[in-house]
Amino acid sequence: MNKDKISSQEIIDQVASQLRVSKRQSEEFLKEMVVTIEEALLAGESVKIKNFGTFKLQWNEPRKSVNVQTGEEIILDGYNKVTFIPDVKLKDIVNEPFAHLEPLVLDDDNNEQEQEQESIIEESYDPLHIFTEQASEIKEILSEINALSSKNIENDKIDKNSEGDKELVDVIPDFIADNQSETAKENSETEITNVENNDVTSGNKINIPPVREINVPETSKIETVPEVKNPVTYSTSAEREIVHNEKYRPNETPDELAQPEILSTPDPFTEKVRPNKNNRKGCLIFIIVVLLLTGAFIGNYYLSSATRCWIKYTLLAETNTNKISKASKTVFGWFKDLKSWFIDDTVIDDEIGDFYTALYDPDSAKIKKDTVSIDTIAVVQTADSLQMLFDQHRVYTEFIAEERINEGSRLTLISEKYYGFKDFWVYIYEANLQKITNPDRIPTGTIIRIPKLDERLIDKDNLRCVQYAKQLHDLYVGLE
Amino acid sequence: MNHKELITEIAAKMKLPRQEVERLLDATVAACTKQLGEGKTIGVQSFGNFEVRKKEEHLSVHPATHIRTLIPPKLVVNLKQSNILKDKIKDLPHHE
Repeated sequence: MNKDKISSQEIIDQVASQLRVSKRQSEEFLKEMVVTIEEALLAGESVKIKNFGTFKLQWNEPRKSVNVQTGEEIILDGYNKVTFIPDVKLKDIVNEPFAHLEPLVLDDDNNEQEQEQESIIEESYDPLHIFTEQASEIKEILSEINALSSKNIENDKIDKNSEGDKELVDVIPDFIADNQSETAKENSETEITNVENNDVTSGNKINIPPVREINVPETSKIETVPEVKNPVTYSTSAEREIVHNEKYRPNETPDELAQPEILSTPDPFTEKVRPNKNNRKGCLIFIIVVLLLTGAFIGNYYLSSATRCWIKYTLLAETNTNKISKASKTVFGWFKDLKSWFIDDTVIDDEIGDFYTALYDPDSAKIKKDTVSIDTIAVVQTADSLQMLFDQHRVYTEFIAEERINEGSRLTLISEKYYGFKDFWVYIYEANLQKITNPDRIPTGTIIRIPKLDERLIDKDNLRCVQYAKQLHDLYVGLE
Repeated sequence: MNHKELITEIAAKMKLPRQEVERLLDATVAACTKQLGEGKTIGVQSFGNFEVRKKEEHLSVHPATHIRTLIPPKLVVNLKQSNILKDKIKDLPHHE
């Protein structure tokens, strides 16, 4: 930048030549201008020059800092600073080389792509997800079904109980009627009218239950009572007491004094039973209706969910069969490899032939089972041949290339270049053990040789090869 | 202090008519602008250097909307004050 620096003298010269004034005047003017600006700034003013910019004093607050050498905290004092804010015109002129550049609003395309990739990955796992989800769903359904069945049992119990209650309830009115008819008989000696009343009331009592089933308990009672043409207005609770009072008044014999006791004992009983009966019947009907509704609803829901579940299963089964067919194809591929390896070994060849025939069997169900078994066998066989490869001492005699280590060179990258997979760098390292001491830090300029490797050893599609390479990786990296 | 006030002040000091001072000032500003437009640094004795700095392109993120914007590089004029000026304004009391 030094060569681009011009002094004020050049500006003075330019101004002088432009305005055809003496250089002295021009120089004097510039000096005066600077002095005036300084004075204005010292006075705390800002100076604005048209088309050029504004000079301002800026106060920088005191701040904490650390002495780099001693580590002590020091406080830097606040200070004033002259700042120059260029005018828009000057800005534009200065920034002309970059004027065509516009701020670019970045869309989140990259992020979206990443998200898409993620979603694709998730989708690839989807069948498993669906399976687990379905499993959990099935569990829930089963548990709910169990709960429902237990509920049903309980409900049945309740029904039975309520039926028993019904029977009891049915029995009770008869009993009451009997009781009252007995009392009526006893009373019949003294007053016939009362007996008639009583009989009618007892009859009422018997008649009432069926009326109640239509859920009109109180009104029916009130309606039925006037039928008796009794001038006395009966309240539900006081009804029988009045009847009784009428009974004892004419007969104040000791026998009849005892009778009220007998009468009074069944009466509270009936009065207690009646509301119970009433409530129970109402509750029963309500419970039954609710149960029916809930049962229908739940049944409907689970029927639909079950069908949905079934549809999902059929779909899953289809995808699984597709997968199995794919897997069987890959197994075919492995078998072709195997065949090429064991051409001399006729026995294995025959076995493979058998497997082939088994695989080409049109029976799909058999293929599934066979592919699974063959799969395992194939893996074992390849593993065995690979194990032999892994176990034998590797001697690198043939080399396919030489590579010079530069700044930024990595064995993994070289491995990817020659073998197509990063993890096989370990073999390059093995071949260059004399030259490389630390695989992580190879001095630049080192020339390493890339060994020729058995194709089976650097099969990146074979999990065993990759795993073995990773084992070696751990071994070598762990050693350092 | 604005443009006119500056001209009046300088005119009073130099005992020159205001029109003359205005001409001089305009010419000076034009010369400086031209030099700065060419990317040159102007050194003014005892005041400072007017220099052109390049601001590199950078990514700005809107704090509220998280919209990322790539700000292109640009050239700006900066005044690097001289030590003489620095010393002069150092003892200046701080005005709020």
